[in-house]
Formats: sequence, structure tokens, C-alpha cells
Amino acid sequence: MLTVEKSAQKISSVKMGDPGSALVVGGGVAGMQAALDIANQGFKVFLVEKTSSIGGKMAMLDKTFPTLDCSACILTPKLSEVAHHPNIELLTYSEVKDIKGKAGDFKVKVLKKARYVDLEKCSGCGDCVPVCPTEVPNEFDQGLGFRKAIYVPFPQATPNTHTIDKRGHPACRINCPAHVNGQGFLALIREHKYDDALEIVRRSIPFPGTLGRVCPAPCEEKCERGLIDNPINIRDSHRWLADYEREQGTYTPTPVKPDKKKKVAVIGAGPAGIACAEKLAKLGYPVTVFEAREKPGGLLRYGIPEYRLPREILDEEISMVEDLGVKFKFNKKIRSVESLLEKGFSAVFLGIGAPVSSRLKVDGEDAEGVFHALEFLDRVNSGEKVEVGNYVAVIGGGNAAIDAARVAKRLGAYKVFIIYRRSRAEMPAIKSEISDAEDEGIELVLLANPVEILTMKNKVAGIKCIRMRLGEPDESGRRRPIPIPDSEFTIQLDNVIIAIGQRVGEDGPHTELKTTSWGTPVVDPITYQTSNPCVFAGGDVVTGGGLVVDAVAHGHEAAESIHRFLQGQDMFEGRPVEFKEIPSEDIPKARFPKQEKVHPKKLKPTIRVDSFKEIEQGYSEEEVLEEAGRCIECGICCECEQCVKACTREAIDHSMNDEVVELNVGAIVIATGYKLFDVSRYERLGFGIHYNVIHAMQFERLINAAGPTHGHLVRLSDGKVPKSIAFVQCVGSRDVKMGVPYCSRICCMYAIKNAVMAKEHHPDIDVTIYYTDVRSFGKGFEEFYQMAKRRFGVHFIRGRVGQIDEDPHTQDLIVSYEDIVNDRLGEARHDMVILSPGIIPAEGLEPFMKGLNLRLYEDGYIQVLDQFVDPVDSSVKGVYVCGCSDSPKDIPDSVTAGSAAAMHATIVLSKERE
Amino acid sequence: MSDAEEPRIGVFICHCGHNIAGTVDVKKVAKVAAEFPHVVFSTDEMFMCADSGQQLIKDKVKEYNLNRVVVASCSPRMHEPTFRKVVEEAGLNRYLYEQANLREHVSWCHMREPGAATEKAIDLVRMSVARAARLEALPLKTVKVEPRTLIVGAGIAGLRAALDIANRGFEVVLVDKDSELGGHVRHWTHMFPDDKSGPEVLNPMIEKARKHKRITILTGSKVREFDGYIGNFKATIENIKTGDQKEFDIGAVIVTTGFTPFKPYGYFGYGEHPDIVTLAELQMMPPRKDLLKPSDKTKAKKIAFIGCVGSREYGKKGHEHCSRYCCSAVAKAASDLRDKMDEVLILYKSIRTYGKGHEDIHRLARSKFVIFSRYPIEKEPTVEIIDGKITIKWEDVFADEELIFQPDILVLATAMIPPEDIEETAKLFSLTRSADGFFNPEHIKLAPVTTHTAGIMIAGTAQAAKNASESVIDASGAAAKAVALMARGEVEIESTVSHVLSDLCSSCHTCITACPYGAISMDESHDPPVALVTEAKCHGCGTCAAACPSNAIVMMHSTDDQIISMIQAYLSPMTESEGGSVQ
Repeated sequence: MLTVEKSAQKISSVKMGDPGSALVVGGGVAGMQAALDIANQGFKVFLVEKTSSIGGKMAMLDKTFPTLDCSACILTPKLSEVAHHPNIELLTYSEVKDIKGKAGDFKVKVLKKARYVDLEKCSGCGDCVPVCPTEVPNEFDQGLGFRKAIYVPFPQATPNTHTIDKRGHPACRINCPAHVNGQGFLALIREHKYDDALEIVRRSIPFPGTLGRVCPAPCEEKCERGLIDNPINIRDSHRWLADYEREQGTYTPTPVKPDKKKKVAVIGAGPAGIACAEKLAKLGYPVTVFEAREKPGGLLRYGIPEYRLPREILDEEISMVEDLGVKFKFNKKIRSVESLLEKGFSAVFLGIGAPVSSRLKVDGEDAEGVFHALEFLDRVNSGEKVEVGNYVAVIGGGNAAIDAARVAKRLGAYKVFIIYRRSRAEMPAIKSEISDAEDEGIELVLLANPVEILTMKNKVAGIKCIRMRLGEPDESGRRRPIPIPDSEFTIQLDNVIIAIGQRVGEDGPHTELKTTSWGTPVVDPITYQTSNPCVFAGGDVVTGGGLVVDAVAHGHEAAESIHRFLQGQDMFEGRPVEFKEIPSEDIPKARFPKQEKVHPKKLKPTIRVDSFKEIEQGYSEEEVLEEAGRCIECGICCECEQCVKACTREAIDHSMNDEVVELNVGAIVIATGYKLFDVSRYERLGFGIHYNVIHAMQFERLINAAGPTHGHLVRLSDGKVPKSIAFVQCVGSRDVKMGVPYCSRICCMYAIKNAVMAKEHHPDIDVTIYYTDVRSFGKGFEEFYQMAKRRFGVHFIRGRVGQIDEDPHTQDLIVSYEDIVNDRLGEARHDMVILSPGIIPAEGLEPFMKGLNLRLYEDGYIQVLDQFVDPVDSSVKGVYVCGCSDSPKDIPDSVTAGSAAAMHATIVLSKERE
Repeated sequence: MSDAEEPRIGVFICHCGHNIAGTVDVKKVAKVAAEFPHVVFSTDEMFMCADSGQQLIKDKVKEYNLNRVVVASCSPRMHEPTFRKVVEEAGLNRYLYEQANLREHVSWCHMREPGAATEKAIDLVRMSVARAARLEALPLKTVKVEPRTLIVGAGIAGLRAALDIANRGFEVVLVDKDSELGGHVRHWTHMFPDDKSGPEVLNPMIEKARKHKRITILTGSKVREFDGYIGNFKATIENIKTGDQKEFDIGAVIVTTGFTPFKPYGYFGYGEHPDIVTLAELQMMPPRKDLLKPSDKTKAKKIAFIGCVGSREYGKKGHEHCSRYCCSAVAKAASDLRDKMDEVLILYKSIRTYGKGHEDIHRLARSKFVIFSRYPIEKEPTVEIIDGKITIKWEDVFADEELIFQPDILVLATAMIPPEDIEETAKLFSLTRSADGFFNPEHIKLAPVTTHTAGIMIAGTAQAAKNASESVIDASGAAAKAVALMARGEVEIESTVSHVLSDLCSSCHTCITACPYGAISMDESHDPPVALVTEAKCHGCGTCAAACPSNAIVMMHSTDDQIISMIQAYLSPMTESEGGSVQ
């Protein structure tokens, strides 16, 4: 159980380091080199890397120029050296958040993000990966393939520990009062793991079948899928799980043997009471539920009509709670809490509901033919024969009003009206219920308020209403209805059913407690403890009328409180459970195409009005799979805990929290590297529009043996081996308009290398490079360029590409270019085009700028003190730069700069040591 | 191997992702290998070099009490050290590890014949297993490191390295054959992309170096003799003028001997007219308001530059490389001179203004209407002296026209090439050179400032053509390597060296002549004197063992016995009934 017992997100902090140690920020090849060179001199180094593994961009590359060494192969010894170096402390999945101080004494706060996998225990075996139901685009493969929510970015990842990718908690879960893990059970439905899916639902609610029918599903209101097309039908999905279990007969009772001595009494066998009893039983308490009526269920049984909730569903789900070992005593009206406490119960939960209908307070309310909804529904649901006339009006816009109207229709009314004082949008009833009612011929009379029930011989004859208009919103946020003068009208009626709310009874055990002006017991909003410390209350008796799922949530929370109370524990620690909301804009919705919601089948209105048969037929297996497939997995990890089950080393801990590490270091090396320029900004080049336009890093993954295609160079559109490919240079380099006036320095060579690799994969392939200048300036580079041209026959065309279009039939690409050497405009067809993105500075330097006043160049790279004398010294004494943090660099230049930065850092450190 | 210890070999076949497993049936290889003599465990794994693979070895060594490990994966060049470390961590001597190369030697070269490739893989593993059974534990040796670094070459790189090391607290001996410190940069009037002059950049560094108590400066001097091994070198430095010699004990060396600007005789009329100069010569012209023609000291109004002179000449040894600094240097000079001149022309093959701030200079030059004209690679400009005037004719690629220009001064941006005495330096420090003529780094990607000779570093333009800023970064990087050695105080040396069996040595001196590293001398304490190997100097190349007529030299870790066992395993695979493979 991770929902309730999880302690609050108190971030613990650890202190490490001293002025004789160094911090290296960024675990790419430059940062690793700097760390090694400092550590090799005997200084302690903290290497902070924001991703889950060190290795940086180099780990993604296929081969390296100019020797065509396998990038991973030459990198792994370094990874391993760093990981095993006695002087290097790796802080992966961590970010520098705050920094202050000066050379010789920096104070750095590093946020160590929870990876939910214990570094010490995980062996990297990967048993957790196949069972994880969540797939997201693999960023390591540049979005070309998928990875699971629990993952290692690449096989040689260091540390070799899996990481769970959690974006936060999905809105559905947060918005559900009982916090049902919607994403979790939907994911397991997709995996056909129905038992486990149902178990997830049952962690939060004891009645997945019942709530799967009657819940207004607040979860769905906030569902992010709703911003794409329609919210997921979460409610009917868990209904299906319960129905499926029933159909398969796979339910087996699992009685819990009470291991606690103290007995608990629950008063009222409604949803709150049963939920409370269920949880207490699971916690090992002997629980007895006292119910005044002859059967359990409360309003679920006596309020909700059978066509919405067949009684056998309710009965079975309650009996499952009984199976846990909860004792039920029916026809046992408890008048005093004190008496129960005296009888040896150590705590009492009060869940007696709000069974009394509110009065309309108009003339004629007591006439014959006037019903109040709760009493009306209770009588019908108890099996009593209730007669209604031909014309019936129901006053109110909530679920009880709709229920009453539809029941009246089924009892033989010819015409049923629902009179509501606001507009349809403000009606609190479930929207589908309203339209279902209309389908059954029920008429809505909106923006009308009864002023008098007209009677004849103390019998209902009609109703007089006044038209309303909507004014300013009131405290509830709904617009306040205002009567329109002189707009009265009347309707002839035989019956009026008043359904405008409910309230608690005037006598009963709650009257022994301190109460509010509404008569409801005063409770603590977190613990549900009342003025009597042994007594807890929840559900309608507290709210005066709320949702079933609210009542369930109250019951569970109160059970937790009773447990803590009886065990003498802190009542508030870690409560309420804090959920991490996910900003809607963080959820990538663009990759999900529109897909209509699957609506469960219903009985036809003409058939259903004649009986109390269940209207909604629920999903078929096929349908629920389709609907579950629509979930966009907002949280990434869905906390289904399949991984926990699969892990044989107990390495996975979903309750892990972020941690702050406070470092004290004498010198800092910044090696935060670079980002690829977003090539989709050049719309004319078609990236993200045409299938077969990819960028160079994607190409690296595509030809990599450990990549998404196991190294097979194929087109994305049809998986065919391309016959002709082209590389387009300077995409996001040397372009003043795009804010990248500088040369990115590496693109010419990586493109030539990739061109050669394409030829190595398929010697017959035709390869063209469209370039501005070929800048093969490093050691062995020019020679490599000449080899590509002469030995491999790569074509070089000097000129920028203007436009890339797609042939809609073949997905081939038509490249329009200017060949400036031959002074002509050309058009060429290629099967695949690879854009060579320039590089831009990485993010994450703000703490340095803020805390140390680190200066950057206009283009975002870190300023160095003097290019000739101190090319690795930043503007801050004691802070050194290497790799691409101060300007674009290739691997050897980055590595050398790493060593150089290390050299300068150790000069500071050695002074500290002296 | 002690006689009592029966070999217990574990075999680990690596998939290398799809690299090996895509061609070789690794499961089959592992299965067959399990039946080889002395093999008690055999398996296959996705990536042996990954942490999980390394852990697997350690676990299995413990579980099966293995005393030999064979990994069949990639070339040992990269991962032999990795796996040696692993077996060491598992409690075995690092020399009880053997590697078979199933990637470079099998899967990559036999990609289209998976069946035959698998057979070959089995052969290679059988051979490795046979060798592994005969491997012997060798002792691990360390030597101490003298806390002093010799820096050869006091240009900007040498100065930077010297200051870094001295500031870090170690002794430096800084030698330059020139009588002044500062190398080429000292002569330059305009650096790029900053607007400083060479002396402006250098003088503070030189001053600091001169004042530093830990830096011994020997200008006008050369390293005459150099001997020893990592941590324990001896250098004899001679003053060129006086012939005075000094000896130093040296722990590490940084070679920053730099480059020489190519003198382009035979190119574009160089030497035929006083106003045709190289870029380096232009840089040395005294800075003043106007640029004067060298010929008649009158004010120059038109200037032309030609790029890539002696660089990027395909097929011409020593001139194939790009000299890296020239494009930006030309753009900078052109841009500056444009302010004083009527016309500035740059003739180029391509413009490689790649570095920090370089594009800005390029753009600035163009915005000042410096004329950039590209000539075809296959058709270089011609320079003639017509009526005493420098006349350039060339074809402009973009205009597709033959053009003529008569500049007052023609500047040739010539290549950076190695200094004339580079071969001497190479020999002195046992360095190898790459195709561009400069020194070869240990690894072009990941070890750019260390060399194959342990304890000797290279930096700046000794390694390859580059600009001053890049040289300075190299220098600090190389300094870090030297300091790491000195700070640790001792260093491990390889035990895979040759060993003389003194009973068999016939004192013929053949090995002494054969050894390329001067690692063998005669042990005069013996009677008669026998050959003696200085292990720290021995590279384990085996030349001496091959040359010895008396079979008196054993190569540790590559004994005859070990090699013959592999040949036998290859030629006579055991049959299935003998527990051999199922071929």
C-alpha cells in the first residue's frame, strides 16, 4: 500500500565533502575526464549527472570519426573507470539547485531525484522491464523506439541500475476522492492482467463493481485525454474488471485473522462504514458493523434505483467485506456511542448518513401526492408498492432528482418533469443520467423555481413556478438564479417529488457530539476525529450529502486514524498524502492521435422504461481493451507495482523520496555539454512532418547495433533499405536569424562519418551531402573527408537546401537545393534525408549564474576569462569549464579541455590542502 | 600455476548487442565451449563490458571457484584492461585472464557467412581456452615517480604547462632550443579572435614563469640524452652555445615542440618577389599605422591572401592535413587590414572559421567588403610577376569567370608542418608520428595528450596543427596527466616483459642490438656476463626472444608453451568422444 501510509514529501538532506574536494557537473565524456584527472591526483570528486547514467551524448553515438571506433566500446572503459574509482562519488539523476561561496569553499545543494530503485540492491538484471506495462518514446534512441517506465538508457549504463520514470500523479488519481489509481489499472487491463488490475482498484475502493455503476467519476472530469478528444471511461473500466471476475468466478475469499486486540465498532453499513470496516479488518482489527436497517448498503441500497445498480452486485461486494472477517449486526439501531464504548469497543466510526430529505418550504408541501425524494426512493427500493399519477414533477437537479423522475416513469407516470432553477450546465447530476432521462421522455423545465404547490382538496393539482435568470456566481461557483418578476406559470400535476437535498437526522448518536449549525458532527478534516477522541465520523453524516466515493474515502481515512489512535501514533504525520500534480503542458499530447471513446451499450429507452432492469450493459473485453488503450499515461510510471513483484532483490521502492545533498567543495568543473538544435524550427525542411526526414542523432541510433532496429539502416515510413540518402548540413548553425550565428564545429565530420557508415552498411547506397563549407579541420579529419569522397564515393554538393517535400505516394523526398559551385538550382529525389542539427548550450546553468554570478556569452555558452591564457577558467574564480559548456567541441577537444579544467581545479584544491 | 592447482576455466561469450550475436551463434559457441578441457562454466551475455557482465564474471568465479577466465568478445585493445581489473577484483591474478576476439576477427569480417563465422568463433575460443589453461600468475610491480616534469619547448603551450605544474606544487624543467621564451606566438602582431598581440598575451606568462621558484628555465638548450622509464627518466640537457650539460631526474615529460610554418617555395611565386610573403611573415611585420610593401617600403593599398598553401594537398605526404588555424587567421588579418587598404581579397578552397568567435570575424570581414573568392580545388590560381607586378589569375567558382588581381602584397597562408628536427625528438622520446608528421597520441579520441610511451605527454602543435587557444588547453590537459603521475608518487608497470634464462644465455649480445627500447644490457656481475632486462623499459614486444639464438629469452605471458598450445588446439580439435566440440 503506498497511498495512505506514505510519509509526506519531507526532503531529507545529507552533507558531504570538504574544501579539498571537487564538484564536476555533467557526466559526459568531458566531465568524466575531468573527474578522473582530479581523482587521479588523490582528490575527492563528486560527479553530478542529471540523467540516470553517465556517458553523455557520446554513449548515443554509433561510431566516432575519424577512426570509426565504436563509440560505446571506447567509452565503456571510461564509464567503468569512473564508476570504480575510489575517489569519485557518483551522483546520478541529480541536479545542482543552489550554489554559493567562493573558490576554496563552495556550498552546493544537489537535488538527488528519487529513482525508486535502490542502487545498492539492483543488479541491473532487467527482470522488472518486461512486466512494466508503460511504454514511452525512448529519448536515448531519439524517440525512434520505445522504452518502459522502468529502464536503463543503454546496456552499458553506469551505474547499472534501473530507474523509474515518474512524471507525477495523474489528474484522475488526484481528483478521485479515494485516489483510485486509474492509470495503473488501465495499464494492467491492456496487459490482460485483470486480477492485478482489480487488486489495484480494490486498494482504494472496496466496491469496484458498485462504484463502476453509480460513481459520477470525478476522475474523468480532469482526465488529460479530454483535452485531445474525450476523457477515458475510467469508471466503466473498473466496473468491467469486477464484472469479469464475477463472470469468471475467480473471486476467492481471503479472511484476515485479526492480530489486534482492540475492537472497533462501525455504526451504519453504508459506503463510509463498510469502507472503514474493510480497511480496519485488513489492518487486523476485529470490527463489528451495526446497521439499523435489515440489509447493508445504506443509500446504495435504499437510494439508488435497481436499474442503475443491480442488488446482487451490491450484495456480493459487501459480502466480500464480510469475508474479510467483518461482523455485521442488522436491525440494530445504535442510539448512543457511549454505550458501545462501554461495551468494550475501543473506537467507534459513525457513518449513519444523512437520510432526511430537505424541505422545499412552499405552500402545499404537505399535500397528498407530494413526496420527498429519499423517502420516495426508499419505499420503492424496499419493495413497497408506490403509486404515482400521470403527471409528475420532480424538483431539483441532482442525482436523486433524476433517479426519482426515472423511477416515477417506471411506476407508470405518463409525463414526468424535472424542474430546476438553474440551467442544464449547472445541474449537479451525472450528465449521462440527464440525457438518459431525456431519452426516456422526461422533460426538463429549466430556469424555473416552484413558488407554490397547487392543491385541490389537499391533493396535488399542479405547481406554480417562476422563471429565473442567472446572475453572478455564488460561493459554489455556480451562477446564482434570480427570479424574473411577473413570469409565473403553472403546470398541472398529480404528484410532486422534492429532491433538493438531504440532511442528517435530528436524533441519533451524532447528537452526543459537538455539531455544526447543520447538525453534522464537527470532525477534523484530515483525521475525521470528532469531539470525542474515540469517535470518528465520515460520509454523508459529515458532508450532509455527498458522493459515494467521498464516503468511501472518508471511511478509509478514518480507519487509518483509528489505527493510529489505537496504536498511539501521531495522527497527522504524513497526512494528507501529497500528490505531485503534473502540469498539463508537461504531458505530450501531440503524439496521440484522436480516438473516439468507447461507449458501453445501453438498453433502448423504449424497452428500459418498462422495467427496473439494468440499463448500462458495461463493456465487453474487447471494448475495455480498446478504451484502456486510450489512456495517455500522464504519470509515465503508473505505480502498478508489477516491477516490485518481479524484482527478486527487493530493490524497488515506490515510496522513495528526493533527497538533497549539501556539498562542500573547493573547486568546480562545469561540463554541462550541449543540446541539439530543434530542427523542426526549419519547417521547410519537413522534420516532424515527413516520415523519412530524421536528424543525425536519430541516424546514429538507427545504425547502432544496440539501437531500435539493431543497426539495420531502414526508412521509417516503410522499413525498406534506402537506395539514396542525403545529409543536409548547417541546420541550426551559422544562421543569424535562428539565433545560432556560430559554427557548431562537429556537424561536418559527423555527417561525413555517417555517410561513410551508410556506405559500409549498404555499399550500393547513393549518398549526398549538401554543405556550406566542409570543415574537416582536426587531426586526421581532412584525410577522412578525402577518403569519404574518393574511396567511398560520397557526393558533396555545395549549397544550402531550400525545401524538402514528400511524394505522398512513395514517401520519397524531393530536395530542392542550390548548387552554387555549378550555379544551378536542382531537385533531387532521396529515400531518406538526415538533417545535421547544430548544437546549442545545455540548460541548467541558472544556479551558477544566480549564486556565483557566472557570466555567459550572448549565445548562452559560458564565458572564459581569456581565450589564450586561461581558456578553461570561467569568470568565477574556482569554477572551470570544459567540453561544450563554453563552445561547441568535438570529442578529443572536449576530453583535453576536461583534463585542462581538472588541472586548474587541482591547483585550487592543492592550496586548500596545504 | 602451481602444479597442484588444476585449471578451472570460465568462458564468457559476449553478444556485443547485435554486433557479435547478429552473425555468430553465441549460444552454440557457449555450449560447445562448455565441453572444452578444463572448462567448468560457460555462458553468453549481452554485454560483457557492462557492469552486469563484469558482475557476472565475479559471481561465477566465486560460485565455480574459477581460476582462469576467458572472455570472447572484442579486440583486447580496449577491454583487456577492463576484464583484467574484473578478475583481479574477483581475487585472481590479472594475468590469468585471456580474451578471444569474436568481433573484429569474426563477426565484422564474416558478416555474410554466419555458419562459418560461428565455426571460426569456436576455433578461437578453443585456442583461448587452451592458452588459458597454461597461463601463469605474474607479479604486480610498481616503480616510484620522480616529482619533476621536463617540458620540451617553451612556446605558449610549454609555458602554460610549466605554470600549471609549478602552481600545483611540482618542479618543472622548461627547455627551449631558442634563446627566448614564447615560441611563435611571440612574433605575432594579431591573435584571433581577440585583438591582442602575441607579446601582450605572452609577457605576463613569461614573467610568472621566470619568477616561479619551481620552474628551472633552460633556454638555448636541447635535450641531448634521454633515458629511463616512466617515473624515472634521466635527461641530459645541453646549452647549445656553451656545450654545458646538466642532468635531471625526471618523472614525466611533456613534449611541446610545436610546428614550423611551411616555406612555400614553388608555390604561387614565393621567393620570386619580395612582396609575396607567408602569413607568418606578415604577422612578423612591425605593427604600425600603414602596412608597407617589403620591396620599396611604400604604403600597400591592395592585398591578397591565398589559403591552404601546403595544406589539404591530397596525396602529398605531410601536406594532406588541414592546418586548422589559417582560415580564421586570414579572416582576422583581412578584416583588420581592410580598414587601411582599398582592396582586400581572399582566395580560398573552403572557409573553416569553426571556433569560438571565428564566425564573427568571418562575418565582420565580409561586412567590410573583404572579397572572398573561391577557386576550384582542381584548378589553383596562378601567380606571375608581370612588369614587376604580382599578377594573380584564377577562376572564381561562383562567378564562373576568369579573374585577375594585382595586389601590392600577396600573403600565402601556409601549412603548419612539424619542425625539421621532429624525427630526432621522436627518437629521443620513443614517440611515433602520424601521417601528418606530428606526434601520434595514445588514442586520437579519448587520449589525445598521452602517448604510447608511458610517462611522455604531447601538447599543442606537437600533436597536430591547431591554434594558440587550443594549444593552451592541450597544455593544461597534459599537465594534469603529469601531475597525476607525480601526485601518486608511484606507478604500476606491466609484467608482460621478457626474461633472460641466464643458464642458457651465450652472451652473444644479439638481443641488445635487437631491442628497440634499449631495455637490455649485460649483467657484468655474472661470470660470464649475461643479458639483463630492465623491466620498466621493456615493452614486451618480443623482438629479443625471437632474435635469441639460444632460446634463452622467455616472453612472460606469451611463452612458447602458451603459443604452441593454441596452435595445437587449432590444428587438432578434440573429437566429441574426447570431450571436444561437436563439429
